[in-house]
Amino acid sequence: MTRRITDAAHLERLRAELQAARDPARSAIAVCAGTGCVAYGSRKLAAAFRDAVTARRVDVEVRATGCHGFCERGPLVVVFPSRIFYQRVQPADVEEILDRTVAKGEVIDRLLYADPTTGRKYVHEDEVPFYAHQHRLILGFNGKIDPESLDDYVANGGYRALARTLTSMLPEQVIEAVTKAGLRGRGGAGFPTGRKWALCRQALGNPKYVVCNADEGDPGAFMDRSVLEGNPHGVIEGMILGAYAIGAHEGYVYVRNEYPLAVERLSLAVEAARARGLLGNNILGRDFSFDIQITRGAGAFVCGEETALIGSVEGNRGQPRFRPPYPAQSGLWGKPTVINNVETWVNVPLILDRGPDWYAGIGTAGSKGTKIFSLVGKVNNTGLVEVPMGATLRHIVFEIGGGIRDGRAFKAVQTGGPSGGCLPAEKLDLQIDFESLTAAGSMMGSGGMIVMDDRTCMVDVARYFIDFLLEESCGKCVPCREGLTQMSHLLHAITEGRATDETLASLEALAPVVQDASLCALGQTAPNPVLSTIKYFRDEYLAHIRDRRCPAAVCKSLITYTINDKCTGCMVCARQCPEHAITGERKKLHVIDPAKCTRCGICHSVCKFDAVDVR
Amino acid sequence: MAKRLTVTPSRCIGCRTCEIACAFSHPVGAPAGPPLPGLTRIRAFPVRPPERGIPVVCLQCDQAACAKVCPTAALQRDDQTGAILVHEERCIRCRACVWACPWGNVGFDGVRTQVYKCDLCGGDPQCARYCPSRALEQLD
Amino acid sequence: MIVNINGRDLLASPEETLLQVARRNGIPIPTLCEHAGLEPWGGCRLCVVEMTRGGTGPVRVVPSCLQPVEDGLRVETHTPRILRIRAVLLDLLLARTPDARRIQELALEHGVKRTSFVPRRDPDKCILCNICVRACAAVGADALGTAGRGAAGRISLPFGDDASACVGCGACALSCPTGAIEMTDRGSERRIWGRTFQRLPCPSCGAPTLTREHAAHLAGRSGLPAESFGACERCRREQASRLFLDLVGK
Repeated sequence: MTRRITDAAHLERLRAELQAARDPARSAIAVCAGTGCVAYGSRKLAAAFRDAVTARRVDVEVRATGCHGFCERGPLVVVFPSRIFYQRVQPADVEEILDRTVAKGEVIDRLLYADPTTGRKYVHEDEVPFYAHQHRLILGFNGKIDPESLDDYVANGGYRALARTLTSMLPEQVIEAVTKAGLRGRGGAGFPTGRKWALCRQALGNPKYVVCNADEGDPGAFMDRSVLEGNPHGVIEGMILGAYAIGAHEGYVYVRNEYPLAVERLSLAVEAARARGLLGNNILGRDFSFDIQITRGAGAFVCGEETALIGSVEGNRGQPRFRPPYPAQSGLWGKPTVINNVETWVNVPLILDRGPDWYAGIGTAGSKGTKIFSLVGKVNNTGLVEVPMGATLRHIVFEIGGGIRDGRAFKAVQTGGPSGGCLPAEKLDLQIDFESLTAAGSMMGSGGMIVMDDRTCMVDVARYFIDFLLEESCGKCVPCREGLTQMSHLLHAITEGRATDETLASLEALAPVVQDASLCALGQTAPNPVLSTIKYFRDEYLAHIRDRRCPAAVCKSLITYTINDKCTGCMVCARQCPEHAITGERKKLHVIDPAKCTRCGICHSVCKFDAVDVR
Repeated sequence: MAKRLTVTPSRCIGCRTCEIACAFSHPVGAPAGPPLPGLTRIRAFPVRPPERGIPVVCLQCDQAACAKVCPTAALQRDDQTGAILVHEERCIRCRACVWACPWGNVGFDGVRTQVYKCDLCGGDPQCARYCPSRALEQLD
Repeated sequence: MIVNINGRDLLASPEETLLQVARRNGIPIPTLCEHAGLEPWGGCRLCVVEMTRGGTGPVRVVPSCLQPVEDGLRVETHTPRILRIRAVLLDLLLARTPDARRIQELALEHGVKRTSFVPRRDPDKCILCNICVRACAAVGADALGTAGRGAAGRISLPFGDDASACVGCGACALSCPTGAIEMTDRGSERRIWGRTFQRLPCPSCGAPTLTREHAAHLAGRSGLPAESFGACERCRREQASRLFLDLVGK
């Protein structure tokens, strides 16, 4: 089974054999083994399926797949051939699924997904609104293939682009195809990938390197993680193609060590590819050799910045340096280096397999293909969503995301990770691409998307992200290190009710200096959350400053808890209050002593009668 | 070929005019700073009797130890005058040059925290100009 | 190639940075982390300038200490935007290191008398310009680095207190622009980075010279015996004079 694949024809024979061996009518159970579902216990679930199948001696394949993206509803299970989709499946459900769905084709109503707003139930994965409105070019593979099986990838068309490219295309033609497809870097800046590759191919210096940036560090973002966990061979194939195009023989994947499953599956995939001759010397019998090493990062956000990442791979302190020289001219160990993000690499085999014209047909004039967003926050359906470039925020938040949780009102969505901007409701019809988001005061970033409802304080949000970025600043340059320190002080003053109009003026004066003068993208974009919230939610800042009031009732220093006349005197709040700030007798109205109250909110959350007001 | 500062010790009368000339042409903190004889780049050691001296000044060695040990290439030969000059903006004050010169001709000014040595006064060494007995001469 | 700085067309060679061309032509640009003898750093950002490519491109703010020259660049070093950036940076640094004289002077030159920001609690004088780290690396000892991240960053020995790689040359302390590194010489003792070094006595006069470790380090790098570094420069000159005296005859 682990024989070396000698050439392109051999690969096609293998693929044909694998596909022939698969009976499309055979029963199979696909259990999502992405990190989210694993956290929900999908490993135990898969084991329970395997045990049950073995005990019953039935011919059912149990397959652990990559992340399906609907993490909110894990563990997810798809039963083949009927493709019936179950969510929140527990080991206790295994016997019933085998008895009814696998054996008789019956649908178990209780395990179906029900739309939280309409209550409508859906039988198949692709009918669920969360999936139906997506365009799952990349993520589609995740649900289909077993990430720990190279054969599975091959059976699903894997390494076909590589075989075809190595046998029929010159490196320059590969670059031309990627350029024509209009692929742009998914890491955040959106630099045209083909142009980057061409610069590196033309650059003097040997050897050349390709690097995969898998240092995804945005809070709440996990698209790269999911791709690495679900489709590691797709990333590897992309890197081999890139290496062929620029003339590199060595590649590195820089992946955070906080992604143990991604590291594990990627390592397995690299070993498998090596054992089968898809990495190493004379790939597919051609005069081209390339291998990949995995470097594990220690979890510094700034190491996602390409020059810092390169420094870290070299064994130095992870801090950015000035460009030029760009990595394409002088990167890893001073040699020409192409560094692309996970999602960029995994797009490459698709482009070469289905052609640049097909790819360029998806998306907007300037931004091609799809983009994966990690949709989180106060939205009904959280998870990974993949849409064509040019989709609107409204489409993502309301059609795919199913709107705001608990029927609350939409307030803002932050795109692009911690240094992205917060866009208000009037920007919901914005067609998302690299340029439009930047023009609106936010950015594409790597694709984080945090939805906020009317209970979110925008000043507090800005404070949170500035504090995050301050913590993650490498500290090399003054504007980022000292500027963010002071922006944090100013924002704390506002949220703690110590601010004057001057505080806001000072913040607005400092922010552009941090943008203009910082060394790398971390500092240059760090003021985005502040400037965008001031731009779109200035009233909220003024309420904090002039009225000493937090309209969303979030900022502790500015809110008071009081008990209204709905109080039944049940004494629950009084018993739960850790500060003993609530007094009152049974069946009599309770009172909160504001001097003792620490605004922890426990009384508010334990009151069954909605008798605690926050203002 | 640049002119060379030539020392003929047998002509030295030990008057130490050279030291004064050097100190005056290298005021501390130009242009207003006072000349400090202690920071003179040349020394004439008196020998008596009879009344004479031995001048010791940088020889601008072909294989200069000071320049060789400098980690930041702050000591470089000037093509015009042949003098090895201290490029202060490149100096990190490690003073390796001070310890490396076998003739003790690189000093360290603790006030300015800066190394100093003979710079041949830009091609017109003042010590030679004022030497009354031609023990120091600027020759072709 | 020709670069235009503040309206003047200036001749430049391709390996030069904008800062070098400006300084060569007497155009002052303030710097703190720049050191001509060390690897460029680009951290203080005081040297930022406005730059336009080909006269029509967007105006970009770049650090002149790192920006290589390109033919046809148009550069402005003292626009209101640049002066404002410098003033804010110095205002920020003043909040960090209120007692550093170099920062006070530079800030004053840029119209900042006192910081408008929240001063740092327990301030030291370090502005994290990294000159000491780079100088130490140039010396070849490589005893210093940066520990911690962001605002919590600090110049540090390995593991905070391992001074074993330090040779006690004092380059870090003497090249620090703000005098943030303490070095005290008392008699033959030198204290720096929490370590006490013995300075070798001059074999002739007994005056303390360089540290034993520095002598050994220089010997290792030059291939000369360590003894050749131990004498003070005054005694060396005197020895030289005796040597000449022997040569010319008494």
